[in-house]
Amino acid sequence: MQIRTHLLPDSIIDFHESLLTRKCTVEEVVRLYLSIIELKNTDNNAYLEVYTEEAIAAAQACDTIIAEKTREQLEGYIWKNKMFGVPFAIKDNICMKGKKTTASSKILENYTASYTATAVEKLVHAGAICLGRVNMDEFAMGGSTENSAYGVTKNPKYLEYVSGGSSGGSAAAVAMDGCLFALGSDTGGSIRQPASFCGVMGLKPTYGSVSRHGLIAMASSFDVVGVIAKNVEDTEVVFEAMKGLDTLDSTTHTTKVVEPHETLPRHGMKVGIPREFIFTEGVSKEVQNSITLTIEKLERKGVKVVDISVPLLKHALALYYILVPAEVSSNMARFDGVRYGKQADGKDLLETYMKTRGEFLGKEVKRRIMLGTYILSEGYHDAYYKKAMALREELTKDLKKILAEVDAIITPTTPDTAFKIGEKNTDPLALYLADIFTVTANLAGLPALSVPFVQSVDSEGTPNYATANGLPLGIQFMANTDRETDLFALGKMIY
Amino acid sequence: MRIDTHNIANLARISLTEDEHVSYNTDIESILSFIDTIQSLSVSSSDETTHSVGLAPVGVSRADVVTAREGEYAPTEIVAQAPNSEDNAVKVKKILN
Repeated sequence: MQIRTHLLPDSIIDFHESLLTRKCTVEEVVRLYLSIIELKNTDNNAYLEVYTEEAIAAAQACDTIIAEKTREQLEGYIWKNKMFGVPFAIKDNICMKGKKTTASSKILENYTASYTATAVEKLVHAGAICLGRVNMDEFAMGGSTENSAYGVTKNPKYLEYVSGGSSGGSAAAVAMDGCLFALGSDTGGSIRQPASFCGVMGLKPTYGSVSRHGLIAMASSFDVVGVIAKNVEDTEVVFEAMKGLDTLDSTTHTTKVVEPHETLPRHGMKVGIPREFIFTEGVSKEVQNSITLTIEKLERKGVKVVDISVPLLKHALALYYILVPAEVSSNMARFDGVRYGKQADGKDLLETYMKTRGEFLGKEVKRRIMLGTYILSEGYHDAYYKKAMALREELTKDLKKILAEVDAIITPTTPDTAFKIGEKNTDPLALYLADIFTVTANLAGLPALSVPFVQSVDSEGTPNYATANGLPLGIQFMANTDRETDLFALGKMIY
Repeated sequence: MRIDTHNIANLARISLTEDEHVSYNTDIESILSFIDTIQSLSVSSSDETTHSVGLAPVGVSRADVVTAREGEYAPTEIVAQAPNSEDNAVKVKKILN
């Protein structure tokens, strides 16, 4: 199949520029993405379902609007509808009315969403076109998509490696040019880790800045819907389009409208680095090297890098694996085979519950429900849950104190590059340890951005990641509540 | 054996095979030995987190009125998702004798 890649946009701005100059139509671009998906998805398994007909119809409707307008009118229209014609993908735990939403679980194999998630609704309202739903770890529990009931999503760079997770399908779809951006959800790194593994941008917004209405819950005080895209500018515009107060999610808050100049790099920005947490055992030399080189780059651009120390950081992972399974065990109680999803037949209601959950929930989901139930059970609740909640509060206070002094905290996104498929699926704890740098932002509700680390770019435009296996890795910035602007400014300095 | 997986599985309403009991026992033991590291930490603040973001006002509420548009959240559509239903109601097995 011949693919006309010259029509493939680099960014949303680039795409809109092509529409303004009538270089291409929305339909041509949408069809281009659909043909790339058709070509690559058999190997990659990023998409679980492609909405071909609806996407083409939506693209044609955009082209009708374009045909009726002068360039100037169209410019004004795109200014108001910032997602005009932009093709995107949604993670399989985000609802779209009338479409299947399975959270990549067998238990929801036949579930059709009866409403659309607020985040999706806002994007579609702003003109975006949904191309389909993408793969993930079952109920967002995992870091490789190996826990999906519908097969693993392979890393578009090298197919024997994982794409990361749980939003592995979202990261792979963007990295393989299967859409311009994708929505993911992040409970402990589920957007940033796959973004890092696939060499794309991943934003976990401030808790409550984007509505969770229509997102299938994993751990409600941690979950947030976020963006995976190719560059900082696109990430920014998508986040702007979907953030804000939503009366259908009581934990959302009002965020201010950000003007484009507010996210530009500023002279005299300050970044804190927790060195003892990064230059230690368990973090690969390549990852440490990427941090050293990034700091040099930031300093050359006038950023002041200061050493910080947060003793509780090294315990963040333990806190996370107490509090999240506890919330999971509670949230997952709704999947009992009565109101929706699959049902196994039992002699009475109790046996129906038990058999349904035993048969149709996957291994990792059951493991976390078991762990969470244990943690919340009589005699253990105070020692684990209550203590972890108090420490979560302390960690948050410590971080906020530091973030009052610096604009962001820099760490790697992951301790290493992507691993091979099957390499880590026998030891759950080994996989949990890969979340060491990402869970903190979720514990404290802070925004964080994973930016691909690129040492150099060759004459063909191919990035050199400076890793032995040639796979990408990410640099993570974490900022204060609702300071995504600082993340974008810093991201632009290094990518 | 520190964990009674049979009791936990019963509380969690999950039927597990004997193999699963064995493997979850090992897994959970190993995860617990990792998370037990927090037991050595002392806690100075007495208040627990009630919300992860210290923004005020926290908690948006709305008036208790139906805001669904025509055709949204239609009962028939929602009941149709249930594995068993009858007369536009979800059907369950008898609970009381």
